[in-house]
Amino acid sequence: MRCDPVMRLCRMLTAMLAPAAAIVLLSGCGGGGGTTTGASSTSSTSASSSTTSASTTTGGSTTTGGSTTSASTTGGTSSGGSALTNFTAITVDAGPAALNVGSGAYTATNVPYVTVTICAPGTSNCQTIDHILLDTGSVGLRLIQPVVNSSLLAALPNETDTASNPVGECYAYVDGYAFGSVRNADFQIGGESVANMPLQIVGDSGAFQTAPNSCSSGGGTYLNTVKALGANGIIGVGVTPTDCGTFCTVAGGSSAATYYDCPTTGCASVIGRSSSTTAPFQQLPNPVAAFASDNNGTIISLPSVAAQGVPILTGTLYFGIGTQINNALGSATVLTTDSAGYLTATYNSTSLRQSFIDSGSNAYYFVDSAIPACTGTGFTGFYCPASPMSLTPTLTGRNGVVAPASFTLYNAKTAYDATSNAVPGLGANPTASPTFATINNSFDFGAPFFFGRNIYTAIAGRSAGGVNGPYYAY
Amino acid sequence: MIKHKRCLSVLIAATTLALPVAASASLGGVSDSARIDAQRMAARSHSLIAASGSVSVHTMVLANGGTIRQYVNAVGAIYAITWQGPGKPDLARLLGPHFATFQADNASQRRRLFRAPPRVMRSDLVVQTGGHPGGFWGLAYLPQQAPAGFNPNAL
Repeated sequence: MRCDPVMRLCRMLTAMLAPAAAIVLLSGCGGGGGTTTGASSTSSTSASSSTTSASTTTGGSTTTGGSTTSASTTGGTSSGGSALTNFTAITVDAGPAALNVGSGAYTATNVPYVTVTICAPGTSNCQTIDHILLDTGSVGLRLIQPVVNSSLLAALPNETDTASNPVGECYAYVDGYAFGSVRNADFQIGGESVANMPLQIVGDSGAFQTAPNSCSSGGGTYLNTVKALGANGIIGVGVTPTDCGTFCTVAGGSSAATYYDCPTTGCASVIGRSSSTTAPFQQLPNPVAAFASDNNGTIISLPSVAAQGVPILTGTLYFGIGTQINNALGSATVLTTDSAGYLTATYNSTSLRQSFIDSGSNAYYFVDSAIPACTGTGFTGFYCPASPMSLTPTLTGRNGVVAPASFTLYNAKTAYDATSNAVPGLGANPTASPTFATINNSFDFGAPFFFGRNIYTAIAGRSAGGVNGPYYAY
Repeated sequence: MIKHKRCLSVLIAATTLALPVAASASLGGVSDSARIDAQRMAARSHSLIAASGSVSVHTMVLANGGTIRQYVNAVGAIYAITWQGPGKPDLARLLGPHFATFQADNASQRRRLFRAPPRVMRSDLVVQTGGHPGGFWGLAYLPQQAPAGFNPNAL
């Protein structure tokens, strides 16, 4: 039986709406992996249009953006200066192998992944972990516990609180939560590193076995397995330097993040954690903000994708904005955000003030009841226009600057190849009912928005290319 | 939600008075429970605003700056809630007996990496959520408890 990739998508969405029905559809769909890419053929965009020629002459390996070879972690060899190492490869593929085995097997769609290395502090007890979800919509490095090998896990020291107990954390995502221990590790990604960086081990054992009620009461799924998260871990590189900021500087304070005192009896009491944005950290830092340099933001550079999608798309994550020859802000339009990372989208003449750009969302989520919804089991919620639609939303920063945010919306049911794991123009209506316009205050520009663009994410309180974050630019 | 010991004692006092916990502080609960919610959730402030007609609105501002509004109908029942803030509120408490429905309708299979916001669309319960870490929002209402002419778009 031919297995349409969008059937996978719709299985996901169907399951959201009708869990029991979706399970029936889960078998018989092979991985969409394979080795054919075609991913790098369409883009030759440098992260910085102004330095394209310069980077070729200095060996910065930045000119092809989507090419796997140029995005190697070792960087190019410089003919006239230092080799650039402020980048790493991004891969949008079927996801970690563990997704596509056993009960509920599936493959990923529109998920950008990177590879990280963590080590027990000051040692060579290290592990390189691939398929870490690259998320501009959150902050902090979180790893699913069983992914970390046991000898390394045992050697990662727990952060402790004023009572000398281990520190635990709950972190809320829109669809669920991550709970686990806060530990320290030496962290490396591409050519950048952080010593003794706090990270979260999600689904940790011992005192962290059970998520406290005050964590799970936010609702959604406990994202404590590779299948639940869709990745071996997640690296949040959003617009804030830490994952809680001043919300967690008083006992009982919280935001998306809540920290706990975790004696052996378990985690219950909520504790305050310093919002320091430099080492030693108490909260999980935005790993980029924790770098010694190139620490003011990122650029995600992914090639454009043809309508039918591709099995594997490769691109580059650059660290720093305006700190090297390969990450100049150039002519990108800067859209500042509020502290929540919100921009204002304007769509069909309506201002949507709680809009955002989020590499961790698989699709464009927006409300337009005039666009035909998909029909058929498993396609509920997705848009199925009769022919590709050119949509022309704009994005307005809190600074009042406006940038076009146009894209082509494709038919989620018919546009994509069965083997595609990166598909462009995938849109879904996030509202509970097609006729329910209440939530027409938000437009989520998910991963497809990154295809064919260089998206800059600047961290709050940092000057990036001469402009203070928080902002997005493209 | 045990965030402040002082509030914990209020909580204990409230439950000791034999208020049915499941129905006391949540969607569908009685209006007094809005005040109790404010105490339980360690709200920084709590106000009662008489809205149009017989509808009243309880507004809580949480310690993290988040806002929760509970809409109370003419017979004193909470028929709708909205929330917004940097973190998710205690939805188990706000939704009360409807939280189980919210969770069941959004069980783990359906997520599958599609990080869409959880929602519920039933004849007797509508829940819509959204946002991302640092900025969450949502609303819930009971269509059959809402006043005639209720427009969720106006919440």
